[in-house]
Amino acid sequence: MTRHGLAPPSLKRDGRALRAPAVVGSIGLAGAGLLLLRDPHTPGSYGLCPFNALTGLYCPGCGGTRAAYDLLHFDVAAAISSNVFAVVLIATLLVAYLRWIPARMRAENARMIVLPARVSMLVLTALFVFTIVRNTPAGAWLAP
Amino acid sequence: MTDQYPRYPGDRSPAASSQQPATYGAPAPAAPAYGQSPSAPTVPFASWWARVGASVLDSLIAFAVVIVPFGIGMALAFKDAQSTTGIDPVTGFQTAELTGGVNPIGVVIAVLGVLLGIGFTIWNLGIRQGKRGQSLGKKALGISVVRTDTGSYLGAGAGALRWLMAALLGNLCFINFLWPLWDEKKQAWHDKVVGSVVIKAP
Repeated sequence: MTRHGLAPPSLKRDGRALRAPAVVGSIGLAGAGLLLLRDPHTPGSYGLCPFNALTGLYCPGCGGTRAAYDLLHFDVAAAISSNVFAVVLIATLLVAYLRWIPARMRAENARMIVLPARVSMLVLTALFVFTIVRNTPAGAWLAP
Repeated sequence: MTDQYPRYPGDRSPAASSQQPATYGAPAPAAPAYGQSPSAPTVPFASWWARVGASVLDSLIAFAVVIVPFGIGMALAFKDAQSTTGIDPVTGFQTAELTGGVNPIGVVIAVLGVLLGIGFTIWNLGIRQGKRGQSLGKKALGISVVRTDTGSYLGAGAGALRWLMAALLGNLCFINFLWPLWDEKKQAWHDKVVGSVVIKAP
């Protein structure tokens, strides 16, 4: 077994390192299970988006739950048409999670995602533009 | 960047303990405890859980400050109040209308209680946290707010601004409170605005 640190392989150490991935994984699985039981395409099945209810506009998250449901049913096209941002987000989270587990075996405190400041600004800007565009007639294909 | 992963609210990592080395420049702690990562964190940012815990604690303290005068005031105000109930002819719902007997002194006490709570929060989360780096909740959790560039405390003005931005941005978008989870320096947006980081208190 090759490891970075000086500490020898230890079940106890690995157990503690993998506790957080276990919790996050459980939350993800619970969410997926809930989606299988309850179809978000039924209006109001998961409540209303407060932003949408108040303003009538789409927030960046609108259609995200439906997109997750569609992805669970391997309908990528429907997921993208619901909320393309959510599709990218879910894919990113999945990859980050799968990479997090081996990273934790190497370093006990490894974080799942670390966004440098520039990337943060990029993501926020993209999110802002996405929100504007999906509320215009030209960007109707980005609306849920 | 290596830093402590959030464990659970109230957890004090070795870096957060108040133990001081006997002499300055003394050799670093010989061997890390069993199972500990041998590499010490360079900047011990406070865990997200500790910040959530401190925030919950601050809310509870503020609630405790408000509830006594507010409760007494409300009880006094409406103790002898009269009301009439009826049926709304349009909607068919039951209605209730105050018809008098409200004690104005009670109302004043209740309003003063709310003002006291607002004042307390500004002091605790703005001024105290700015000048001493810690709200009461952060003190209990062993974390403090410092400037990113110098590592010193913010001061009352920037502290108050930080509190205001947290309230504003947090209400505008909940993601603000999640942002430290993936931020490089574990900053929320209100940290970025005033240039602060939350660290484990030395």
